[in-house]
Amino acid sequence: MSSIGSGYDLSASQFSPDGRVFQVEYANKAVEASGTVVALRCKDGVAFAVEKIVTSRLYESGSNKRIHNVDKHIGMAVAGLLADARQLLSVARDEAKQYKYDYGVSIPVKYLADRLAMYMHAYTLYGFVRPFGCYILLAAYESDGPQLYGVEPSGVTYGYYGIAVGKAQQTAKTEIEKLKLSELKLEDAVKEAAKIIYQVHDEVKDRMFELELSWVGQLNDGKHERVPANIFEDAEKFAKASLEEADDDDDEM
Amino acid sequence: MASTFNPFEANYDTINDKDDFNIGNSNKNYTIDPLETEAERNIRTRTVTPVVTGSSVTAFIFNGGVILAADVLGSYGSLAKYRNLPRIHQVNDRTILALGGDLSDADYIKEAIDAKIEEDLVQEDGSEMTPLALYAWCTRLMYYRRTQFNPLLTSVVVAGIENNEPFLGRINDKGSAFKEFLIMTGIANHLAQGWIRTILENSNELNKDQAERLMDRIVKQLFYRDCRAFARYRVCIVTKDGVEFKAKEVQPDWSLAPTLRNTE
Repeated sequence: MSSIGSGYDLSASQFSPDGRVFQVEYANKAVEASGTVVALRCKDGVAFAVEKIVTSRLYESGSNKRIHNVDKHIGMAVAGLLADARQLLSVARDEAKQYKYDYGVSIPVKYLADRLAMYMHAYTLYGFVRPFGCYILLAAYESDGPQLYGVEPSGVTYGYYGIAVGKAQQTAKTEIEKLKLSELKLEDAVKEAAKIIYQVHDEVKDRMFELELSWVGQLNDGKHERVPANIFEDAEKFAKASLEEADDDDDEM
Repeated sequence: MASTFNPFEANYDTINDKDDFNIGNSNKNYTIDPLETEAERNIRTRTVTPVVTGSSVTAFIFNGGVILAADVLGSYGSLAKYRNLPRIHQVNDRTILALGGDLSDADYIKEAIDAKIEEDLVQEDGSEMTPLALYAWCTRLMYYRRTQFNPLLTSVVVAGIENNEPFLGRINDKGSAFKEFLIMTGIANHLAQGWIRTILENSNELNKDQAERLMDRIVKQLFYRDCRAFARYRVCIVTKDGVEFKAKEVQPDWSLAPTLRNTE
């Protein structure tokens, strides 16, 4: 699947003869190499589930979280190069703070996504910088309902009902399409997201992983936060149980 | 004056409307102009006098917490213009900020602190602003502005529970800060601090109800004597159990008035 740029991929300021900017496509490769992120926008909220791959038992658990708060009401999940994402997080926080200062209200997530996209796009125009190697997902529950936006390394942003990014994005996407998102409640969406993560996790290639779950919706008044401990345990149990079911089905066959 | 008219000298404000390109007096190329400070250059963009002001803030520590009181008036000089501006703000569960003096500067300080609190909140590491931290930060802010000759013409009172102990401190517009068991800003400094200090020093620790009654008495006295005071005020009590706000109105007794000359 990897195409050879052969000379047109040395900087982001070059087009290839067939009209591609290879540096941006390579940035997408960095995103595809990271742990999976699943985001589900359901009837009354948005749930994030992140497969945070742990490469060594010596790491303190809970380091390098991949779900962050931008403002009290906006959550950001990242796939790709974490260090790049940290800068984007800082930029997003500054934007939100400035908007609050200028207009007195919290920034609507659509505007934040647009601004972040403009910022990421700026880094795809010049030869002396490289594009950001991360895919940013932004979620909020606002007056007109739940919102989920994704920003690609190229600076393009879409609104989503459900999205998966990272290693297992194709498999996870198939799983998401099986769900009826518009009828799902947030408590169930969280469990489904956790289940998808467990299902697509590759035990052979990446042994250990930590699950990160967060939600924002009507039930917590639009305040984005990590799910409470009891909900987290329920979701994990649900996910592991469904894995065993799947194994049993395989055995029966 | 006619006798001192010199047609070769600049006839405009040479300090503020600076002649950067030396168009006006070419014969002065050889003189050395004295260095101007940022303050002198920016005389039109600095705060020099307060516009809308809040009157005094009174606060003291009692047994188990801190109590503060401030009226809800924004005075436009001698006009009682904005009659519902609470000046005591809750920062978090154990920190209170009270402001007196110029109220636009007070809003600036409050908004800066609110933005700071929100910034810290999203870090999700459980750390909170404590009264001492806020006090230190406000001191730095006020002193910095003083050094720029562009002061925030406000008195800041920081109160709360620090390490399970009541905390009370004040920073003025010059950046001078101190912590005390009794803080009065504005004219209350002169009208009330003396006799209250005597009461508090000579009594055993007051409990919450006694403190509240004493505070009501202080505010009433200030209402009698302060020309910029207002009858409606807010009282805030901070204890280990949390923060409590009360809205009150002074019930003054003017029955003494007819016996005084000049009041008939």
